[in-house]
Amino acid sequence: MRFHLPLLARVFHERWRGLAGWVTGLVSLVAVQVAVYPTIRDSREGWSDLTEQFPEAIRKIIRMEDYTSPAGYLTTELFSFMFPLIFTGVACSWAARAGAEEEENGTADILLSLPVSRGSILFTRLVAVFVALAGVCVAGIASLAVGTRSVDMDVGTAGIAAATVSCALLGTVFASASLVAAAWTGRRGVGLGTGLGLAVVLFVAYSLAPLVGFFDRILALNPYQWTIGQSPLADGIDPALALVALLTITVLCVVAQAGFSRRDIRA
Amino acid sequence: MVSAPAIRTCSLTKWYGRSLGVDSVSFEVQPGETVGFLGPNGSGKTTVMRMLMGLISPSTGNAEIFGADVATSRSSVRAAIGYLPGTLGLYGTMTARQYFLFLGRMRRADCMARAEALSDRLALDTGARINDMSKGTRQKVGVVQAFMHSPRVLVLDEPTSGLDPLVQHEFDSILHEACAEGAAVLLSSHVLAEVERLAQRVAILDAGRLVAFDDVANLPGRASRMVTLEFEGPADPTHLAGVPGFRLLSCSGHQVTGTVTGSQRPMLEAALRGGLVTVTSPERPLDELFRGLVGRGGTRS
Repeated sequence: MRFHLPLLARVFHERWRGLAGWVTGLVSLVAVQVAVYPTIRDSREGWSDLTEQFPEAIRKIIRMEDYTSPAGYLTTELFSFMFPLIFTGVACSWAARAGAEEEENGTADILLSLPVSRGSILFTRLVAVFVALAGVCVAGIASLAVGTRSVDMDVGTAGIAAATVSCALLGTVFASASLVAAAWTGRRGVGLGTGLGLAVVLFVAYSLAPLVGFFDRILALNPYQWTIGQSPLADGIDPALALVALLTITVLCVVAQAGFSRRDIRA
Repeated sequence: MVSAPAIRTCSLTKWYGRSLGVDSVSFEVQPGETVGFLGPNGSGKTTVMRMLMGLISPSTGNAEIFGADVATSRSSVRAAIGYLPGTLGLYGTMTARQYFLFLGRMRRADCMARAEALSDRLALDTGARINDMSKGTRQKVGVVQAFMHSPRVLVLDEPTSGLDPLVQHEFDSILHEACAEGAAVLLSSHVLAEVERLAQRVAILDAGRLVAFDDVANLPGRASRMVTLEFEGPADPTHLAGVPGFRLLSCSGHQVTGTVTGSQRPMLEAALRGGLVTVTSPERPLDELFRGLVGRGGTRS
């Protein structure tokens, strides 16, 4: 598959400000959460009493275990919700643009009249999504590595990297769904809605799995379970489940390519 | 071996749901030839051109560039084509120069020298941001990008839309030069005079059907056109009585209106003797042309 560096450069030329906004948001969130941790650590007993008073159902839903330990704190505050939310937001937004932006802006007619295949255009735009996510990943890992050290949180960088990459992998699964919808319809809104809608529905199913039998039985099919459900901060990435996520992403990207390569482009 | 035409469509048909957008359109454009693609809005000109570019697939039939089916051939078949879409979408945050550079890199061809030369001829400031340009200036960017790689085939959808007369004149020169170098041109317009000026043959679409494909010289109504003659003093149609090819329609004040068939010279000589000041000949509407086609046996659905 041919890759077009000029197209990748153009995408980043257009969108680096938006990406910088996401990265700033993520780093600020990390800074705030890490800065608050010493207060939690210093009043460990009080927090333990407080969190133990939470209803069992709530504790299960937010997978709250040992909130005052560094790993427990980061898992609850960042890796269970906010990081997956940010990565899913970035990934779906970029993927929906990848599949439909040129067509909606009316720039597809000239771009697709060039002697390059549609497949290579979508492939390049897909690479842009991965590069953007990799950038957010690096920012997340670096800010957490620096932040946790500065407040003496006992968390390994490998664990931080595994948890952050798991969130990125989760976002990429939903981004692939966005890409399919955008590439088949040529509409960015449809792409974004599909990815984010799927993310919300599956998050509800994942969160309620400890309480609802049906959701628990289908938990093995839930991308949240493949990624952040495996305690990557403590245990690292589960290679088999990561492979399942990667295969799902690959299949969805192939489906997106099939739609984009064949369908009529709107004027 | 006979070489394939630069552009050929064979029974090209496009259905949109249950409505027929383009109905079995077949025509050819040879190298070095300009074919004018005429038709009112919504007649299917743009649909045919977008099928030629592979942007939409025909429901039946096919479109070929130098004998290669655009729907099934490799994308490299488009290297030979310069395309100007009817609805021009450009990267607004780029300058024209950045845009040409981007397109050249995507084509893996160095065409910046020609892009700059074409921009100079069209008085286009390539350092300006496309978002800050007027509609006419953006159209110049569209024209330059279509010609900048010296394509052997040009597919131009209403290329002079928004261009002022001076720039249109320069565009005509650029087009004639491309044809002289062997380029095949398919140029759509809904202005009859433009097609008469630029094309050797004309394909006329109406409601998705090709109602005529002929030399421009054989266009119905071409031989006869309306003229209004204005005289210094009160108009006296007797000066024009018996002038070959002239038919008087009305006479009032200083003006005489009529139609002239064939050479206008006898009419002009007679009118000059009568104190002619100005001659005007209004743009013939396409409807008149279509009436002529229906009169010749063409049909409108």
